[in-house]
Amino acid sequence: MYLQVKDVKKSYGKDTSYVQVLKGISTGLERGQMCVIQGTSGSGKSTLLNCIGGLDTMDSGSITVDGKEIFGLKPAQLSDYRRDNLGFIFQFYNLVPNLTVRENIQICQHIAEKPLDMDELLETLGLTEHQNKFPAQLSGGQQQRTAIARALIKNPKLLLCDEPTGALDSKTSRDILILLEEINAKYGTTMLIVTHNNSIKNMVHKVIIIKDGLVKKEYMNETRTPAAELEDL
Amino acid sequence: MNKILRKRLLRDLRANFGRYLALFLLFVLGLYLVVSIVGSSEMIIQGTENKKSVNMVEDGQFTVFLPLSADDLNSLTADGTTIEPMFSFDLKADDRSTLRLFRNRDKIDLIQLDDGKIAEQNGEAVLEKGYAEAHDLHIGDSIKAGGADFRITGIGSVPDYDMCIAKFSDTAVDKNAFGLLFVTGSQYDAIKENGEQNAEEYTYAYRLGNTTDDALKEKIKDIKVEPEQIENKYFRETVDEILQERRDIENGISDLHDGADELADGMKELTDHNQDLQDAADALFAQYLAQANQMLANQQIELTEDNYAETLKTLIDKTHSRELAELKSSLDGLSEFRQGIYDYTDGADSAADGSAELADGVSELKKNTDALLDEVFKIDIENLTSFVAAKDNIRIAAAAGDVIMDKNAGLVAGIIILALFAYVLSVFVVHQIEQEQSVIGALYALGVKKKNLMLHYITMPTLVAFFAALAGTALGFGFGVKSQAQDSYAYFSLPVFDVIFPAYLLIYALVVPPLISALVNAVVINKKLSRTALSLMKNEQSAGSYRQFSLKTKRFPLLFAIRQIVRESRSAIATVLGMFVSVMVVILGLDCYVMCKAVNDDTIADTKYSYQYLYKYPEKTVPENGEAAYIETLSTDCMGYTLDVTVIGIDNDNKYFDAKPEKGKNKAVINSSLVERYGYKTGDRVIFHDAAADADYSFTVTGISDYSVGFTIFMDIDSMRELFDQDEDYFNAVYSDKALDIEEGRLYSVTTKEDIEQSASVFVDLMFSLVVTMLSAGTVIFCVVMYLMMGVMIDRSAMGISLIKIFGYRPREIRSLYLNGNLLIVTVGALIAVPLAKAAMDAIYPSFICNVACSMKLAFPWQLYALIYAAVIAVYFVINRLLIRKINRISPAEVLKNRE
Repeated sequence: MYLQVKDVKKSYGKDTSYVQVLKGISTGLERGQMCVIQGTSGSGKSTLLNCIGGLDTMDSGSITVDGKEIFGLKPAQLSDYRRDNLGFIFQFYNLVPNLTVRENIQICQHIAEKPLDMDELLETLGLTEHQNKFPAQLSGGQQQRTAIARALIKNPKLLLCDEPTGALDSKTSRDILILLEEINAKYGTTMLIVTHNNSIKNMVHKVIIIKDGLVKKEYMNETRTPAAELEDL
Repeated sequence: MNKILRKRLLRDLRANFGRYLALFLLFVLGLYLVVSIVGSSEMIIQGTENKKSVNMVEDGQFTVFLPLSADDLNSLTADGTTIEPMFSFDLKADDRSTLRLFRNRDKIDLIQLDDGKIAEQNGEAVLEKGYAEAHDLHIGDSIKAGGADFRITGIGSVPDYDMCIAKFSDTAVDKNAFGLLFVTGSQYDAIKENGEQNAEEYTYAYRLGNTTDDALKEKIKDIKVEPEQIENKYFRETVDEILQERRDIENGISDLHDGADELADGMKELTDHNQDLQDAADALFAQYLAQANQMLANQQIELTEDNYAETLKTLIDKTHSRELAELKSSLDGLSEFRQGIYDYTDGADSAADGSAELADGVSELKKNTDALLDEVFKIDIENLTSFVAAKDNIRIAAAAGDVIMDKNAGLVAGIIILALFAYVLSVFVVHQIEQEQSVIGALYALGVKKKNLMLHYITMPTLVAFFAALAGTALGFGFGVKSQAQDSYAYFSLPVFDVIFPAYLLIYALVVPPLISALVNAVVINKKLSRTALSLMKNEQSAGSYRQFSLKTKRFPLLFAIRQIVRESRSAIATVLGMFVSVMVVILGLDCYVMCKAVNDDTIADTKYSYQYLYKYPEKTVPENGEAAYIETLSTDCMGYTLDVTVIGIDNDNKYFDAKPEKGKNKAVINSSLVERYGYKTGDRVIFHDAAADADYSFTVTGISDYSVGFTIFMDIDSMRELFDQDEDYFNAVYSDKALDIEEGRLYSVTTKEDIEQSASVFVDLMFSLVVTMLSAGTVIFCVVMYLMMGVMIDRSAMGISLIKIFGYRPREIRSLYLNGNLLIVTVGALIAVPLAKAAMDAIYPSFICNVACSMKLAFPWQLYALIYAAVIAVYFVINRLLIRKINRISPAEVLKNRE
């Protein structure tokens, strides 16, 4: 299994403010699979994503990515782990506002050992004509495509997406999802997508539903609906 | 709503405690400096003014050759003017320092005692406080000077020696070398009688009645010295020399007169017998003619006086008679003799007439000679030798004059610092608003009014500014004013002044900082809050938020650093401004040090003589081994201050000065100090003023001498004598490389190279604390501003840093992206700010020393520039270390909680 999560627990605060967000989550994902994590607010889905991304530490349990355990890694080792394996896409894009589209993508290109071809990626994502624009000059969809390009430029093995369509309208959301689908097909990138959107679960290989810090349900889609055909986005 | 918002204030303070603390300290430091400098200046200026009436400060003083008579004094004081003698002479103490001895004062320039009591008995003395401090002398101690012992009963100061220098032309106070001693009148007289000291100075101080300085001066100029009044043996000698010359001329004229009379009498006697001589000659000729007629009677020829020559010639031609030829020859001889007698008697008459006229002329000459001699030999010498109104007296209120520039500099520096603070504040405010704009937008949407939000965001920085102002002002008045005044107390001879609290300074220090803070915040916040609630909530960045330009470089770190600098240009400007201001403060300190060091070194290097003797009563012959010179003192203006210019007349081969002045009454070589201060060059015409004569002298600059002592010009001594109407062998100064045997009574002063070396180092010693203060203040301001601004840059980039941490950037790479730009700002900023600050400070520096006639060498050696630059970079790296910690504390998860 490419991604293996075992009995991961995570809590915040002390005494009266103590909250256990993850109460022993176990799950896994094969290489090249697309997976959606769903759950209500406060269910722990984003915390799980952060733990997998090495952005947050877990109290106990184990997370292995491509066989490598990340629990207990020091900050510098976590940094290398993210650098070598992960790509991130956020709900609010998190583009650097004073850098152009191309320069934002260069942030990750700069640290990649074997980056993808910038121009080809820009072409793939339909950003060639916007590459010298600043984020404020772009639409939401264009900004998210830029964020995706930034995540993909270093050709990550695992792409973590936190509400990637959360700030987008229906049409743009569909475009982004089609794009993710194409990337998965083209580069074989494993994708873990946290979303509230119920329709997205139909386009992925695996669905994990979390409730109150535990995996309530997980299943594999026997048939996947192409993103272009998704309804109610 | 306001109540709820107010609750955030303390939380905001806690959250940004470090930043507010740094800002608070910066304000406190800045206001402490301003209040200290301006407050101490005001204390001295107003303290001096207040003491005028307490100490009965003179309106002016004048010095005379001989003490004024009671009649003269009565005449001068008839209009209500008060005059008090301030006679003095200089005593040498055992350590070769000089103590100027005065009688106690009764009416003018009263002694202000810091401690003890006035001398009441012989053997008691009040000592000037600076000298006492420098020599560690206290009340009850004894001091020996001029062969006499004095017990110190009091220590104090007098207002006419606020700047306690021996001569007006002295550049600096040297408390080790010169001080004042006040004794009873009888003690003074006893020392004067017994001691072997320099000539007594007859100086009077006056307080004007119903008259003016000029009118009083004219009255004093009318007072003449009668030769018989002169008691001083050296002055008497000078006058006797003048009188002897007059007597020699008078005797010569008298002898001439007598000779002319005798000549006239003799000639008269001679001409009395002229007619007898003529009659005898006529009788002799007539007798001989009669004899000739008898000889020729047979030829019936009668010879007459008129025809004898023609008649005898005709006869001789006919007869060829030898007898007739001899007769004719004899008659011709007698005729010529008779004509000779006539010519002689006519000449004698003319000579007699001429000698009579000569006698009359010499009599006339004798009569006129007395008036002429009165004109040429001014025996009724003008008694006044110098007249100095208090406003022109560099010794009076010198400290107050000195600190006026400090006060102005302090106020200007305060404005610059407050402007810097305002800019720093605006950076904070912009940063805070940008951080919180989604919250602000939400509050807007909830109905909170803009004015409430403005009030909220203005409150904290304004409160910080107010409390900092309060603390800075309290520290300034409580500690800084007296501390800052120590420099003035250390240099000048001042009574202890009370701290005063000028209203304008209180407003400046307490009201302006919070006001500026409120205004800056209001303007910046108002602009930021002009956006719609939705725009704020969505955290929209307008397309014009960042300067858009394309970069060609392919090097991503460089590209990123440039983008970062441009994005943080406001903070970058504040950093460079802070650097500029703080480097200016540092350079002010270094300028002080460099200049004082140069004054010290150059004065020692340029003083090539070992002894300088200044005469009060010059000799006729130059002492053996001495080089004669003629010195006069003129003055020039420097920003309203009157500064002395010493004119030295020297021979072209004077071995103690390198200047080679050309002959010519209006040609002079000027020294480098004048060039540095006024920018004169060869060929310029310069004008200096003679206050005593109320005349201006114009000179063409024929050369520049690398002689740095005071303001000095060199003239050819003969030309100078001619210009100042002195004898062709006149001199009043002698330079020598060994001690000369000159009677002390003739001298104003003897200055050794050792004395000059001691006084030259005074500047360096006095300025040291100021230099340290400036260096420290500049460094602190620089550190705080740099830390704050770079901290803001990091804070504003927290999202970006968090983001690239997520992407897997290593700490070194993050530092290179976010801090290399800062290094670029600091290195390039320092390259611009250091020379710019130096140029700016050099441009305003002359105004700080406009009351001192000294050289102004401000050039830094390149090593000093390198040192400043290295210090700036070193400070940057120290702050960088702190910022690295700040960067390390930024969590990768930050980006998940907030949005850029």
